Amino acid sequence: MNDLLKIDNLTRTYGKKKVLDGLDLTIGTGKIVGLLAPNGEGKTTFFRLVMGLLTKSDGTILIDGQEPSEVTNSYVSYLPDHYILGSFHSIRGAMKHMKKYFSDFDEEKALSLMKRLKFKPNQRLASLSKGQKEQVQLILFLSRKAKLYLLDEPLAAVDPATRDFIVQTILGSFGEENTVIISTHVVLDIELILDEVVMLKNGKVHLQGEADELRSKYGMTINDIFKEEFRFVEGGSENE
Amino acid sequence: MSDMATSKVRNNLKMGLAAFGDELKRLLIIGIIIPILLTLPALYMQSRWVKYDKIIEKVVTSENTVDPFSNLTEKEMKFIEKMESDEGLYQLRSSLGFASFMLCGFLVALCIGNLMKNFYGAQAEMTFAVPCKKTVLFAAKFLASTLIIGFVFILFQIQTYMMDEGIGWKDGKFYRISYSYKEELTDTMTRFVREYSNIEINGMTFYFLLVIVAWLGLAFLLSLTGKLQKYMGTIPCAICICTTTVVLFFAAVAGILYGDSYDNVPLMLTAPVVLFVLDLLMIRKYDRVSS
Amino acid sequence: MPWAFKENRPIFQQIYDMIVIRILNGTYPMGGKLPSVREMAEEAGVNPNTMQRAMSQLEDTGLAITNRTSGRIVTTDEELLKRIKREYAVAAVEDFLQEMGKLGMSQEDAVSLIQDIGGEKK
Repeated sequence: MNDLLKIDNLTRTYGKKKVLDGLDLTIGTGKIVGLLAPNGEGKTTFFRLVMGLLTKSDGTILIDGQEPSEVTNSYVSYLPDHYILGSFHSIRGAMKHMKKYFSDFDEEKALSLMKRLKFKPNQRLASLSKGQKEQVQLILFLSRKAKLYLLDEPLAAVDPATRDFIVQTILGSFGEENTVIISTHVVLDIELILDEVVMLKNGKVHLQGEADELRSKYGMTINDIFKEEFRFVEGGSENE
Repeated sequence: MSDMATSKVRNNLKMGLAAFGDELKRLLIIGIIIPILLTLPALYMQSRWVKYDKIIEKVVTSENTVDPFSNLTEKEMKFIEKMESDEGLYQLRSSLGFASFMLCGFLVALCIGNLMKNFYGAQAEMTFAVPCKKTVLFAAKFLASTLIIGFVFILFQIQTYMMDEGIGWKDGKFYRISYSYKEELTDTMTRFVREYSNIEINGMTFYFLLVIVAWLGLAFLLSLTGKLQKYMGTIPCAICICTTTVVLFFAAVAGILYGDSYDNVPLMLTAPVVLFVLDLLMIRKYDRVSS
Repeated sequence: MPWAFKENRPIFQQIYDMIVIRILNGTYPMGGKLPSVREMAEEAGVNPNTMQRAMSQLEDTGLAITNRTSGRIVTTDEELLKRIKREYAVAAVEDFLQEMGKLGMSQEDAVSLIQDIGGEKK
């Protein structure tokens, strides 16, 4: 079974609005995939469905052959687009939590990454800036040895130096035996590290392909293709 | 296959226990340490009451039926008077009672706040995107909160008793020594006897159940919101939620109240048990309330 | 030399070109070991799969040889290096001449310009 993630006809409604409308997607192992769409096109909804935080309206989701459950959550590492460490006092407290709930959490890796950004384990989370908090969160979830990483807008509000660190960390966590899906609406940031590109539009996969093939085919950067494809939906409604 | 199933169950139990422990730890200070500290003054008062009761013992067993107090020393008389009518002691008792009452309220607010934050707020991913069944997580958090709230409520009740009167031991049971002495016999002759009454925790049961129902009811309403957002727009959703709230509130209070007045335990427990089962069913297929 | 990409060409081809240039100018010497795919990918900030593809292409052209014991090494085939160096040089000169053509300079003008500037630099 080579398909790590197999999605068929996935549909999810909010009232009358279909945020995902018959989405089909297959993603293999050993890939860094960019899930590209403007805000409000269902990226977060998609991740939440894969994590079992939402129920689907229709379709199937198979992660390594299994439907989303507590079993799949043990090998999928999900970094939400907002800060979720609010109930922890210190970095150490958050790390303890990760260790307790995720058997694949690599404490040493987390510590060494924290050190590179000059974080100390006994540092109070409340004393950190917004950007720093997001860095800590990213380190925690990338320090899991997961089969599938779902990173929701990991580069939304970071400075260029941090951007490089995050990209390096993503590359460092990635290997032949796992897959990373990065959602973003700012394509330029991750253009170079993508194997595959998936663009969502109107709740469906609008375009999917290997990054280099798309570059050859369109003679444009992925960023330019993205701008071209979404010219008329930019500034679309925010509803995720 | 059965091996896998066993390991799944074991893993869920392990995670559930971890969640249970986390919740207890979260409530450690306000739910365990402060209530125990507040019990210390009550224990002091109780030691005074025990001393008081020892002096009364002398009165009760006095052979002198004209003036049973005659065999007490002046110091002992003063002590009795102080315990019965001292302004300072009275203030200590009432302020301590008030502090405990506030603590109970704060604890309930905290538990409900935790529920909202953990299950439906920004922390939902931290709580639910873990390798554990959502029902197990929910049950673990509920049990931990219930345990702490129950502990604090019972402690509050015991504190009140310990501050107000002596607690004695008779026939293998604790009793309140209320109005420890009482006149008898004729106009001129007096003999004093002790009166004992049962320690009752019933008064707290009503409030305790009310809090539990509020906790479970809120979880129900929030998971209902999660479900409804899949099918309908905001306005019909709001109408549904309001109606459910009103019905839930009346049914729950009526059940607990009637159960209490008729001493009908099953009736009293109906609302919390039904809500708990409903919550488990809803949370099994969790729908995060979108922000 | 930093890794800088023009993003509209396949990244793996650009990486391939950059590594070839490093081999030609001796940054990666003949017979020397090439860094691992992972190291190079992290350094360049690109996907390891993309780097792997560039490496495979290096092997296809024979510039890199995978050795079971010592990893991936740069070829020691001088003839091959010479040939490839010439290919790259020819391409660069063609580009140059095209640019000069745009400026209205003939091939002779361009050659004498090169000699003038080359003389000044000495």
